[in-house]
Amino acid sequence: MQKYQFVCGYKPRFSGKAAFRNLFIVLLISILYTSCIRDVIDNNSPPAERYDAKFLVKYLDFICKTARVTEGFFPPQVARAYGYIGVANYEAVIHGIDPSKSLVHQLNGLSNYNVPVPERNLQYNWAIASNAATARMTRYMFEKRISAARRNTLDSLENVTHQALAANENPLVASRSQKFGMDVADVIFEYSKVDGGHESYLNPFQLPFSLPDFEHVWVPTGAIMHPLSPRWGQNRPFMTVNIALTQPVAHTPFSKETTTEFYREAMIVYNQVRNNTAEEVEIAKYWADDPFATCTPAGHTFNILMQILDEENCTLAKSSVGFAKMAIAENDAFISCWKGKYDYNLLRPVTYIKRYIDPSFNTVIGTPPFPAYTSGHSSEIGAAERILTSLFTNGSGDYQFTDYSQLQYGFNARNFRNFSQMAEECANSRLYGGIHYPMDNSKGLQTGRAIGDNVNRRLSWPANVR
Amino acid sequence: MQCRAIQLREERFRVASELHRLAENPKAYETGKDSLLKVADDLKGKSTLLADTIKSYLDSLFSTSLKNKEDRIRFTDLVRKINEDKRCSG
Repeated sequence: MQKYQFVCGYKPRFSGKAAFRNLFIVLLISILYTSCIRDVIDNNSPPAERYDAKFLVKYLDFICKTARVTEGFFPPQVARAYGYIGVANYEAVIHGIDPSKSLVHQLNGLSNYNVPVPERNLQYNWAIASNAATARMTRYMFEKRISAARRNTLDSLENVTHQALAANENPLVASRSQKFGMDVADVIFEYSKVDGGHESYLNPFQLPFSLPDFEHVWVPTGAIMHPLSPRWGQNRPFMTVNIALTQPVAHTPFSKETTTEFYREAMIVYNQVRNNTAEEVEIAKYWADDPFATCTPAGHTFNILMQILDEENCTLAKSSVGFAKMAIAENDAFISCWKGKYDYNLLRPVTYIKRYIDPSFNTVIGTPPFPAYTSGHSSEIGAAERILTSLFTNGSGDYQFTDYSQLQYGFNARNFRNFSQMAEECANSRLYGGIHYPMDNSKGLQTGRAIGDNVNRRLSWPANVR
Repeated sequence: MQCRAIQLREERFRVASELHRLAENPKAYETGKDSLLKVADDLKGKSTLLADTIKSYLDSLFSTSLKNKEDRIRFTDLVRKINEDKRCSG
Protein backbone atom coordinates (compact mmCIF):
# COMPACT_ATOMS: atom_id res chain seq x y z
CA MET A 1 0.00 0.00 0.00
CA GLN A 2 1.46 3.33 -1.06
CA LYS A 3 1.63 5.88 1.74
CA TYR A 4 1.51 9.52 0.64
CA GLN A 5 3.45 12.05 2.61
CA PHE A 6 2.75 15.57 1.44
CA VAL A 7 5.59 17.32 3.14
CA CYS A 8 7.89 19.92 1.63
CA GLY A 9 10.49 18.45 -0.70
CA TYR A 10 9.11 14.94 -0.62
CA LYS A 11 7.78 13.54 -3.88
CA PRO A 12 5.64 10.49 -3.39
CA ARG A 13 6.09 7.67 -5.90
CA PHE A 14 2.84 6.52 -7.44
CA SER A 15 2.14 3.17 -8.95
CA GLY A 16 0.64 3.26 -12.46
CA LYS A 17 -2.82 2.43 -11.13
CA ALA A 18 -2.64 5.06 -8.39
CA ALA A 19 -1.34 7.66 -10.81
CA PHE A 20 -4.23 6.98 -13.17
CA ARG A 21 -6.69 7.22 -10.30
CA ASN A 22 -5.20 10.52 -9.14
CA LEU A 23 -5.21 11.92 -12.63
CA PHE A 24 -8.88 10.99 -12.90
CA ILE A 25 -9.68 12.71 -9.59
CA VAL A 26 -7.83 15.86 -10.64
CA LEU A 27 -9.67 15.91 -13.95
CA LEU A 28 -13.01 15.36 -12.24
CA ILE A 29 -12.37 18.19 -9.78
CA SER A 30 -11.32 20.49 -12.63
CA ILE A 31 -14.47 19.71 -14.58
CA LEU A 32 -16.69 20.21 -11.54
CA TYR A 33 -14.94 23.47 -10.64
CA THR A 34 -15.22 24.80 -14.16
CA SER A 35 -18.89 23.89 -14.39
CA CYS A 36 -19.52 25.72 -11.13
CA ILE A 37 -18.08 29.00 -12.25
CA ARG A 38 -18.66 28.91 -15.97
CA ASP A 39 -21.51 28.04 -18.23
CA VAL A 40 -21.05 30.61 -20.95
CA ILE A 41 -21.09 29.51 -24.55
CA ASP A 42 -17.80 29.77 -26.46
CA ASN A 43 -18.00 32.45 -29.06
CA ASN A 44 -15.65 34.70 -30.96
CA SER A 45 -17.16 37.92 -29.67
CA PRO A 46 -15.37 40.85 -28.06
CA PRO A 47 -16.01 40.67 -24.30
CA ALA A 48 -18.65 42.81 -22.57
CA GLU A 49 -15.81 44.64 -20.81
CA ARG A 50 -14.99 46.19 -24.19
CA TYR A 51 -18.18 48.30 -24.16
CA ASP A 52 -19.01 51.28 -22.03
CA ALA A 53 -22.32 51.38 -20.19
CA LYS A 54 -23.50 54.94 -20.66
CA PHE A 55 -26.56 53.69 -22.51
CA LEU A 56 -27.47 51.33 -19.65
CA VAL A 57 -27.32 54.26 -17.23
CA LYS A 58 -29.78 56.06 -19.52
CA TYR A 59 -32.18 53.12 -19.22
CA LEU A 60 -31.96 53.23 -15.42
CA ASP A 61 -32.85 56.90 -15.62
CA PHE A 62 -35.70 56.13 -18.00
CA ILE A 63 -37.14 53.47 -15.67
CA CYS A 64 -37.12 55.92 -12.76
CA LYS A 65 -38.83 58.65 -14.74
CA THR A 66 -41.41 56.22 -16.07
CA ALA A 67 -42.18 54.73 -12.65
CA ARG A 68 -42.62 58.27 -11.35
CA VAL A 69 -45.46 59.11 -13.72
CA THR A 70 -47.08 55.74 -14.37
CA GLU A 71 -50.21 54.93 -12.40
CA GLY A 72 -50.08 51.90 -10.11
CA PHE A 73 -46.33 51.89 -9.56
CA PHE A 74 -45.82 51.85 -5.79
CA PRO A 75 -42.56 50.70 -4.13
CA PRO A 76 -43.07 46.91 -4.55
CA GLN A 77 -44.16 47.31 -8.16
CA VAL A 78 -41.19 49.55 -8.95
CA ALA A 79 -38.70 47.13 -7.36
CA ARG A 80 -40.19 44.28 -9.37
CA ALA A 81 -39.90 46.21 -12.65
CA TYR A 82 -36.22 46.94 -12.02
CA GLY A 83 -35.85 43.30 -10.94
CA TYR A 84 -36.87 41.64 -14.16
CA ILE A 85 -35.24 44.26 -16.38
CA GLY A 86 -31.95 43.69 -14.52
CA VAL A 87 -32.18 39.91 -14.93
CA ALA A 88 -33.03 40.18 -18.65
CA ASN A 89 -30.10 42.50 -19.27
CA TYR A 90 -27.74 40.19 -17.39
CA GLU A 91 -28.77 37.13 -19.41
CA ALA A 92 -28.28 39.12 -22.60
CA VAL A 93 -24.63 39.93 -21.82
CA ILE A 94 -23.49 37.05 -19.60
CA HIS A 95 -21.93 35.12 -22.48
CA GLY A 96 -19.64 38.09 -22.99
CA ILE A 97 -18.21 37.75 -19.48
CA ASP A 98 -15.86 34.81 -19.04
CA PRO A 99 -15.66 33.08 -16.65
CA SER A 100 -19.17 33.56 -15.41
CA LYS A 101 -22.35 31.71 -14.75
CA SER A 102 -25.80 32.37 -16.11
CA LEU A 103 -28.62 32.92 -13.61
CA VAL A 104 -30.68 30.21 -15.30
CA HIS A 105 -29.80 27.46 -12.83
CA GLN A 106 -29.49 29.86 -9.91
CA LEU A 107 -32.76 31.77 -9.76
CA ASN A 108 -35.93 30.22 -8.42
CA GLY A 109 -37.72 28.40 -11.27
CA LEU A 110 -35.81 29.99 -14.14
CA SER A 111 -34.40 26.66 -15.34
CA ASN A 112 -37.95 25.68 -16.34
CA TYR A 113 -37.69 28.23 -19.12
CA ASN A 114 -35.69 27.93 -22.30
CA VAL A 115 -33.54 31.03 -21.90
CA PRO A 116 -31.72 31.49 -25.21
CA VAL A 117 -27.97 30.99 -25.48
CA PRO A 118 -25.84 32.37 -28.29
CA GLU A 119 -24.94 30.14 -31.20
CA ARG A 120 -21.54 28.55 -30.71
CA ASN A 121 -18.68 30.21 -32.59
CA LEU A 122 -20.81 33.00 -34.00
CA GLN A 123 -19.98 36.58 -33.14
CA TYR A 124 -22.22 38.83 -31.01
CA ASN A 125 -22.12 42.44 -29.93
CA TRP A 126 -23.11 42.37 -26.25
CA ALA A 127 -23.96 46.05 -26.09
CA ILE A 128 -26.46 45.64 -28.91
CA ALA A 129 -27.92 42.58 -27.18
CA SER A 130 -28.13 44.49 -23.90
CA ASN A 131 -29.85 47.45 -25.54
CA ALA A 132 -32.44 45.22 -27.19
CA ALA A 133 -33.12 43.14 -24.06
CA THR A 134 -33.35 46.13 -21.73
CA ALA A 135 -35.65 48.14 -23.99
CA ARG A 136 -37.96 45.20 -24.62
CA MET A 137 -38.14 44.18 -20.97
CA THR A 138 -38.82 47.79 -19.92
CA ARG A 139 -41.68 47.92 -22.40
CA TYR A 140 -43.09 44.67 -20.95
CA MET A 141 -42.84 45.84 -17.35
CA PHE A 142 -44.87 49.01 -17.91
CA GLU A 143 -46.86 47.62 -20.84
CA LYS A 144 -50.48 48.40 -20.03
CA ARG A 145 -50.07 51.74 -18.31
CA ILE A 146 -47.15 53.44 -20.02
CA SER A 147 -48.13 56.73 -21.65
CA ALA A 148 -47.69 57.29 -25.37
CA ALA A 149 -45.08 59.95 -24.61
CA ARG A 150 -43.00 57.62 -22.42
CA ARG A 151 -43.31 54.84 -25.00
CA ASN A 152 -42.05 57.17 -27.71
CA THR A 153 -39.13 58.20 -25.52
CA LEU A 154 -38.28 54.53 -24.96
CA ASP A 155 -38.51 53.75 -28.68
CA SER A 156 -36.25 56.68 -29.39
CA LEU A 157 -33.72 55.67 -26.72
CA GLU A 158 -33.60 52.14 -28.12
CA ASN A 159 -33.27 53.23 -31.75
CA VAL A 160 -30.66 55.92 -31.17
CA THR A 161 -28.60 53.53 -29.03
CA HIS A 162 -28.89 50.71 -31.55
CA GLN A 163 -27.88 52.92 -34.44
CA ALA A 164 -24.86 54.25 -32.57
CA LEU A 165 -23.73 50.75 -31.58
CA ALA A 166 -24.45 49.19 -34.96
CA ALA A 167 -22.69 51.92 -36.93
CA ASN A 168 -19.31 50.23 -36.64
CA GLU A 169 -20.56 46.67 -36.53
CA ASN A 170 -21.00 43.97 -39.14
CA PRO A 171 -24.74 44.14 -40.02
CA LEU A 172 -25.14 40.40 -39.54
CA VAL A 173 -23.60 40.56 -36.09
CA ALA A 174 -25.75 43.57 -35.23
CA SER A 175 -29.02 41.93 -36.24
CA ARG A 176 -28.08 38.59 -34.61
CA SER A 177 -27.24 40.38 -31.36
CA GLN A 178 -30.41 42.43 -31.43
CA LYS A 179 -32.52 39.33 -31.98
CA PHE A 180 -30.70 37.51 -29.20
CA GLY A 181 -31.43 40.33 -26.75
CA MET A 182 -35.09 40.45 -27.73
CA ASP A 183 -35.42 36.65 -27.42
CA VAL A 184 -33.90 36.74 -23.93
CA ALA A 185 -36.37 39.45 -22.86
CA ASP A 186 -39.30 37.43 -24.24
CA VAL A 187 -38.39 34.41 -22.13
CA ILE A 188 -37.68 36.42 -18.98
CA PHE A 189 -41.07 38.07 -19.44
CA GLU A 190 -42.72 34.63 -19.57
CA TYR A 191 -40.83 33.75 -16.37
CA SER A 192 -42.09 36.97 -14.74
CA LYS A 193 -45.73 36.29 -15.56
CA VAL A 194 -46.20 33.62 -12.89
CA ASP A 195 -44.40 35.25 -9.93
CA GLY A 196 -47.60 36.73 -8.50
CA GLY A 197 -46.80 40.33 -9.40
CA HIS A 198 -47.62 40.28 -13.11
CA GLU A 199 -49.45 43.49 -14.09
CA SER A 200 -49.98 44.20 -10.40
CA TYR A 201 -49.93 47.90 -11.27
CA LEU A 202 -53.47 47.43 -12.58
CA ASN A 203 -54.68 46.50 -9.08
CA PRO A 204 -51.92 47.46 -6.64
CA PHE A 205 -54.21 47.18 -3.62
CA GLN A 206 -55.14 43.60 -4.59
CA LEU A 207 -58.80 44.13 -3.79
CA PRO A 208 -60.91 42.65 -2.40
CA PHE A 209 -58.98 42.30 0.83
CA SER A 210 -59.81 42.87 4.45
CA LEU A 211 -57.80 42.74 7.66
CA PRO A 212 -58.95 41.20 10.94
CA ASP A 213 -60.43 43.58 13.48
CA PHE A 214 -58.10 43.54 16.48
CA GLU A 215 -56.76 46.38 18.57
CA HIS A 216 -53.18 45.92 17.35
CA VAL A 217 -54.07 45.65 13.67
CA TRP A 218 -53.33 48.30 11.05
CA VAL A 219 -56.05 50.78 10.17
CA PRO A 220 -55.94 53.46 7.46
CA THR A 221 -53.89 56.50 8.43
CA GLY A 222 -54.70 58.81 5.57
CA ALA A 223 -56.72 59.24 2.44
CA ILE A 224 -56.05 55.73 1.14
CA MET A 225 -58.44 53.32 2.81
CA HIS A 226 -56.91 50.04 1.65
CA PRO A 227 -53.53 48.54 2.52
CA LEU A 228 -51.09 48.32 -0.38
CA SER A 229 -50.40 44.96 -2.04
CA PRO A 230 -51.39 42.71 0.88
CA ARG A 231 -50.52 39.50 -0.98
CA TRP A 232 -47.12 40.66 -2.21
CA GLY A 233 -45.38 38.48 0.37
CA GLN A 234 -46.69 35.40 -1.45
CA ASN A 235 -44.89 36.35 -4.67
CA ARG A 236 -42.17 34.09 -5.96
CA PRO A 237 -38.80 35.56 -5.00
CA PHE A 238 -35.71 35.22 -7.17
CA MET A 239 -34.09 33.32 -4.29
CA THR A 240 -36.20 31.18 -1.95
CA VAL A 241 -33.75 31.72 0.93
CA ASN A 242 -34.43 35.44 0.72
CA ILE A 243 -37.89 34.82 2.14
CA ALA A 244 -37.49 31.58 4.07
CA LEU A 245 -34.38 32.56 6.01
CA THR A 246 -34.84 36.28 6.50
CA GLN A 247 -38.18 36.70 8.23
CA PRO A 248 -37.96 38.86 11.34
CA VAL A 249 -38.77 37.48 14.76
CA ALA A 250 -42.14 38.54 16.14
CA HIS A 251 -42.30 42.19 17.15
CA THR A 252 -42.47 43.30 20.77
CA PRO A 253 -45.91 42.15 22.04
CA PHE A 254 -48.59 44.78 21.56
CA SER A 255 -49.70 46.47 24.74
CA LYS A 256 -51.18 49.80 25.74
CA GLU A 257 -49.81 49.57 29.29
CA THR A 258 -47.37 52.38 29.97
CA THR A 259 -44.81 50.08 31.56
CA THR A 260 -44.41 47.82 28.52
CA GLU A 261 -41.74 47.65 25.86
CA PHE A 262 -44.33 48.35 23.15
CA TYR A 263 -45.44 51.57 24.83
CA ARG A 264 -41.78 52.55 25.15
CA GLU A 265 -41.29 52.03 21.38
CA ALA A 266 -44.21 54.36 20.69
CA MET A 267 -42.90 56.92 23.19
CA ILE A 268 -39.55 56.97 21.38
CA VAL A 269 -41.38 57.93 18.17
CA TYR A 270 -43.47 60.51 20.00
CA ASN A 271 -40.50 62.15 21.70
CA GLN A 272 -38.38 62.01 18.56
CA VAL A 273 -40.98 63.89 16.51
CA ARG A 274 -41.46 66.50 19.25
CA ASN A 275 -37.74 67.10 19.54
CA ASN A 276 -36.55 66.66 15.96
CA THR A 277 -33.75 68.98 14.93
CA ALA A 278 -33.99 70.84 11.62
CA GLU A 279 -31.41 68.41 10.23
CA GLU A 280 -33.50 65.40 11.30
CA VAL A 281 -36.59 66.85 9.61
CA GLU A 282 -34.51 67.38 6.48
CA ILE A 283 -33.32 63.75 6.64
CA ALA A 284 -36.90 62.50 7.09
CA LYS A 285 -37.98 64.36 3.96
CA TYR A 286 -34.85 63.50 1.98
CA TRP A 287 -35.46 59.76 2.28
CA ALA A 288 -39.27 60.01 2.11
CA ASP A 289 -39.09 59.43 -1.66
CA ASP A 290 -42.58 60.81 -1.90
CA PRO A 291 -44.79 59.22 -4.56
CA PHE A 292 -46.00 62.67 -5.62
CA ALA A 293 -42.84 63.25 -7.60
CA THR A 294 -40.13 60.62 -7.08
CA CYS A 295 -39.61 57.05 -8.25
CA THR A 296 -40.02 55.54 -4.73
CA PRO A 297 -37.26 54.20 -2.43
CA ALA A 298 -36.22 51.45 -4.86
CA GLY A 299 -35.81 54.10 -7.56
CA HIS A 300 -33.74 56.26 -5.22
CA THR A 301 -31.44 53.29 -4.60
CA PHE A 302 -31.08 52.57 -8.31
CA ASN A 303 -30.33 56.26 -8.87
CA ILE A 304 -27.44 55.95 -6.42
CA LEU A 305 -26.22 52.81 -8.20
CA MET A 306 -26.54 54.56 -11.56
CA GLN A 307 -24.56 57.56 -10.33
CA ILE A 308 -21.68 55.46 -9.00
CA LEU A 309 -21.52 53.20 -12.07
CA ASP A 310 -21.24 56.36 -14.12
CA GLU A 311 -18.66 58.03 -11.86
CA GLU A 312 -16.53 54.88 -11.86
CA ASN A 313 -16.75 54.59 -15.67
CA CYS A 314 -17.84 50.99 -15.28
CA THR A 315 -17.93 48.83 -18.37
CA LEU A 316 -21.02 47.05 -19.65
CA ALA A 317 -19.83 43.91 -17.83
CA LYS A 318 -19.55 45.49 -14.39
CA SER A 319 -22.68 47.60 -14.86
CA SER A 320 -24.69 44.53 -15.83
CA VAL A 321 -23.44 42.63 -12.78
CA GLY A 322 -24.27 45.63 -10.57
CA PHE A 323 -27.71 46.07 -12.10
CA ALA A 324 -28.55 42.35 -11.76
CA LYS A 325 -27.35 42.07 -8.16
CA MET A 326 -29.32 45.13 -7.10
CA ALA A 327 -32.34 44.02 -9.13
CA ILE A 328 -32.52 40.64 -7.41
CA ALA A 329 -31.87 42.07 -3.96
CA GLU A 330 -34.43 44.89 -4.21
CA ASN A 331 -37.17 42.68 -5.67
CA ASP A 332 -36.70 40.08 -2.94
CA ALA A 333 -36.33 42.67 -0.17
CA PHE A 334 -39.80 44.00 -0.94
CA ILE A 335 -41.33 40.51 -1.07
CA SER A 336 -39.70 39.54 2.22
CA CYS A 337 -40.66 42.80 3.90
CA TRP A 338 -44.24 42.66 2.65
CA LYS A 339 -44.59 39.09 3.91
CA GLY A 340 -43.66 40.28 7.40
CA LYS A 341 -45.95 43.28 7.16
CA TYR A 342 -49.02 41.14 6.49
CA ASP A 343 -48.02 38.32 8.81
CA TYR A 344 -48.07 40.81 11.69
CA ASN A 345 -50.43 43.55 10.42
CA LEU A 346 -49.10 45.93 13.04
CA LEU A 347 -50.71 49.32 13.44
CA ARG A 348 -48.65 52.44 12.71
CA PRO A 349 -47.20 54.67 15.43
CA VAL A 350 -49.54 57.53 14.49
CA THR A 351 -52.57 55.33 15.24
CA TYR A 352 -51.15 54.09 18.55
CA ILE A 353 -49.96 57.51 19.72
CA LYS A 354 -53.27 59.21 18.90
CA ARG A 355 -55.21 56.48 20.70
CA TYR A 356 -53.12 56.03 23.83
CA ILE A 357 -50.67 58.94 24.21
CA ASP A 358 -51.63 62.20 22.54
CA PRO A 359 -54.65 62.66 20.20
CA SER A 360 -53.08 65.78 18.68
CA PHE A 361 -49.96 63.98 17.43
CA ASN A 362 -48.93 64.50 13.82
CA THR A 363 -46.14 62.91 11.82
CA VAL A 364 -43.47 64.85 9.94
CA ILE A 365 -44.16 63.05 6.67
CA GLY A 366 -47.22 61.14 5.53
CA THR A 367 -47.63 57.59 6.82
CA PRO A 368 -47.79 55.18 3.87
CA PRO A 369 -50.85 52.92 3.54
CA PHE A 370 -49.59 49.58 4.87
CA PRO A 371 -48.67 47.97 8.21
CA ALA A 372 -45.60 49.04 10.18
CA TYR A 373 -43.50 45.97 10.92
CA THR A 374 -40.93 45.98 9.28
CA SER A 375 -39.90 49.12 7.43
CA GLY A 376 -39.76 48.83 3.65
CA HIS A 377 -37.15 51.58 3.34
CA SER A 378 -34.92 49.88 5.90
CA SER A 379 -35.23 46.50 4.22
CA GLU A 380 -34.42 47.73 0.75
CA ILE A 381 -31.58 50.02 1.82
CA GLY A 382 -30.06 47.24 3.95
CA ALA A 383 -29.96 45.03 0.86
CA ALA A 384 -28.56 47.90 -1.22
CA GLU A 385 -25.84 48.59 1.36
CA ARG A 386 -24.50 45.06 0.98
CA ILE A 387 -24.70 45.08 -2.82
CA LEU A 388 -22.96 48.46 -3.16
CA THR A 389 -20.28 47.35 -0.69
CA SER A 390 -19.58 44.24 -2.73
CA LEU A 391 -19.49 46.18 -6.00
CA PHE A 392 -17.38 49.17 -5.07
CA THR A 393 -15.22 48.25 -2.08
CA ASN A 394 -12.83 45.49 -1.17
CA GLY A 395 -15.36 44.33 1.41
CA SER A 396 -14.46 46.96 3.98
CA GLY A 397 -17.41 49.10 3.05
CA ASP A 398 -15.27 52.25 2.97
CA TYR A 399 -16.40 54.38 0.09
CA GLN A 400 -16.94 58.11 0.35
CA PHE A 401 -19.65 59.33 -1.93
CA THR A 402 -22.16 62.10 -2.44
CA ASP A 403 -25.75 61.32 -3.35
CA TYR A 404 -26.79 63.88 -5.97
CA SER A 405 -29.96 62.07 -6.95
CA GLN A 406 -32.30 64.22 -4.85
CA LEU A 407 -31.03 67.60 -6.10
CA GLN A 408 -33.67 67.42 -8.82
CA TYR A 409 -36.39 67.19 -6.16
CA GLY A 410 -35.28 70.24 -4.21
CA PHE A 411 -32.83 68.69 -1.73
CA ASN A 412 -29.18 69.39 -1.12
CA ALA A 413 -26.72 66.63 -1.97
CA ARG A 414 -25.76 64.45 1.00
CA ASN A 415 -22.26 63.11 1.73
CA PHE A 416 -21.61 59.66 3.18
CA ARG A 417 -18.46 58.02 4.54
CA ASN A 418 -19.64 54.59 3.45
CA PHE A 419 -22.71 52.61 2.45
CA SER A 420 -23.48 51.58 6.02
CA GLN A 421 -23.80 55.22 7.07
CA MET A 422 -26.16 55.77 4.15
CA ALA A 423 -28.30 52.77 5.16
CA GLU A 424 -28.42 53.75 8.84
CA GLU A 425 -29.45 57.30 7.95
CA CYS A 426 -32.20 56.07 5.64
CA ALA A 427 -33.55 53.68 8.30
CA ASN A 428 -33.44 56.36 11.01
CA SER A 429 -35.24 58.79 8.72
CA ARG A 430 -38.41 56.74 9.23
CA LEU A 431 -38.19 57.34 12.98
CA TYR A 432 -37.55 61.08 12.47
CA GLY A 433 -40.58 61.12 10.17
CA GLY A 434 -42.72 59.59 12.92
CA ILE A 435 -43.94 56.75 10.75
CA HIS A 436 -42.04 53.73 12.11
CA TYR A 437 -41.20 52.27 15.52
CA PRO A 438 -37.46 51.79 16.14
CA MET A 439 -37.93 47.99 15.93
CA ASP A 440 -39.39 48.31 12.39
CA ASN A 441 -36.20 49.98 11.27
CA SER A 442 -33.66 47.78 13.04
CA LYS A 443 -35.36 44.53 11.95
CA GLY A 444 -35.88 45.88 8.44
CA LEU A 445 -32.20 46.71 8.09
CA GLN A 446 -31.28 43.28 9.42
CA THR A 447 -33.56 41.55 6.89
CA GLY A 448 -32.28 43.65 4.01
CA ARG A 449 -28.65 43.04 4.89
CA ALA A 450 -29.26 39.28 5.04
CA ILE A 451 -30.85 39.43 1.59
CA GLY A 452 -27.96 41.45 0.19
CA ASP A 453 -25.52 38.93 1.64
CA ASN A 454 -27.47 36.04 0.11
CA VAL A 455 -27.37 37.66 -3.31
CA ASN A 456 -23.63 38.31 -3.03
CA ARG A 457 -22.62 34.96 -1.61
CA ARG A 458 -25.13 32.34 -2.67
CA LEU A 459 -25.22 33.26 -6.33
CA SER A 460 -22.16 32.80 -8.50
CA TRP A 461 -20.99 36.14 -9.91
CA PRO A 462 -18.03 36.85 -12.16
CA ALA A 463 -15.05 38.10 -10.18
CA ASN A 464 -12.89 41.11 -10.95
CA VAL A 465 -15.04 42.61 -13.68
CA ARG A 466 -14.17 46.23 -14.36
CA MET B 1 -34.12 76.41 -10.54
CA GLN B 2 -32.93 74.73 -7.38
CA CYS B 3 -34.66 77.37 -5.28
CA ARG B 4 -37.93 76.74 -7.11
CA ALA B 5 -37.44 72.97 -6.63
CA ILE B 6 -37.11 73.54 -2.88
CA GLN B 7 -40.32 75.55 -2.86
CA LEU B 8 -42.17 72.85 -4.81
CA ARG B 9 -40.83 70.20 -2.48
CA GLU B 10 -42.22 72.02 0.55
CA GLU B 11 -45.54 72.51 -1.21
CA ARG B 12 -45.70 68.76 -1.92
CA PHE B 13 -45.16 67.91 1.73
CA ARG B 14 -47.68 70.52 2.79
CA VAL B 15 -50.39 69.18 0.45
CA ALA B 16 -49.64 65.58 1.50
CA SER B 17 -50.05 66.58 5.15
CA GLU B 18 -53.30 68.39 4.39
CA LEU B 19 -54.64 65.33 2.61
CA HIS B 20 -53.73 63.16 5.60
CA ARG B 21 -55.35 65.55 8.02
CA LEU B 22 -58.46 65.93 5.89
CA ALA B 23 -58.84 62.16 5.68
CA GLU B 24 -59.34 62.01 9.45
CA ASN B 25 -62.74 63.59 8.97
CA PRO B 26 -64.65 61.60 6.31
CA LYS B 27 -67.24 64.32 5.75
CA ALA B 28 -64.68 67.06 5.26
CA TYR B 29 -62.62 64.72 3.10
CA GLU B 30 -65.53 64.05 0.75
CA THR B 31 -66.11 67.75 0.18
CA GLY B 32 -62.49 68.91 0.12
CA LYS B 33 -60.60 66.09 -1.55
CA ASP B 34 -61.23 67.02 -5.18
CA SER B 35 -59.70 70.45 -4.94
CA LEU B 36 -56.69 69.15 -2.95
CA LEU B 37 -56.10 66.27 -5.35
CA LYS B 38 -56.17 68.75 -8.22
CA VAL B 39 -53.52 70.82 -6.45
CA ALA B 40 -51.50 67.63 -5.87
CA ASP B 41 -51.70 66.66 -9.54
CA ASP B 42 -50.65 70.13 -10.59
CA LEU B 43 -47.71 70.02 -8.17
CA LYS B 44 -46.68 66.62 -9.43
CA GLY B 45 -46.64 67.89 -13.01
CA LYS B 46 -44.61 70.98 -12.12
CA SER B 47 -42.21 69.03 -9.89
CA THR B 48 -41.43 66.28 -12.39
CA LEU B 49 -40.97 68.79 -15.21
CA LEU B 50 -38.55 70.83 -13.11
CA ALA B 51 -36.82 67.65 -11.89
CA ASP B 52 -36.20 66.60 -15.49
CA THR B 53 -34.78 70.02 -16.33
CA ILE B 54 -32.45 70.04 -13.31
CA LYS B 55 -31.36 66.45 -13.99
CA SER B 56 -30.52 67.20 -17.64
CA TYR B 57 -28.60 70.29 -16.58
CA LEU B 58 -26.66 68.35 -13.95
CA ASP B 59 -25.93 65.48 -16.35
CA SER B 60 -24.55 67.93 -18.84
CA LEU B 61 -22.46 69.73 -16.19
CA PHE B 62 -21.15 66.47 -14.75
CA SER B 63 -20.12 65.12 -18.13
CA THR B 64 -18.34 68.28 -19.23
CA SER B 65 -16.98 70.68 -16.63
CA LEU B 66 -17.49 68.76 -13.36
CA LYS B 67 -15.88 65.46 -14.17
CA ASN B 68 -14.15 64.70 -10.90
CA LYS B 69 -15.69 64.08 -7.52
CA GLU B 70 -14.01 67.01 -5.76
CA ASP B 71 -15.35 69.53 -8.28
CA ARG B 72 -18.83 68.10 -7.94
CA ILE B 73 -18.75 68.33 -4.16
CA ARG B 74 -17.51 71.95 -4.36
CA PHE B 75 -20.29 72.73 -6.82
CA THR B 76 -23.08 71.23 -4.70
CA ASP B 77 -21.71 72.92 -1.58
CA LEU B 78 -21.89 76.20 -3.46
CA VAL B 79 -25.48 75.52 -4.52
CA ARG B 80 -26.32 74.75 -0.89
CA LYS B 81 -24.73 78.03 0.23
CA ILE B 82 -26.59 80.07 -2.39
CA ASN B 83 -29.90 78.49 -1.41
CA GLU B 84 -29.26 79.22 2.25
CA ASP B 85 -28.33 82.83 1.48
CA LYS B 86 -31.45 83.25 -0.63
CA ARG B 87 -33.46 81.60 2.17
CA CYS B 88 -35.14 79.30 -0.31
CA SER B 89 -38.03 77.54 1.36
CA GLY B 90 -41.69 76.86 0.93
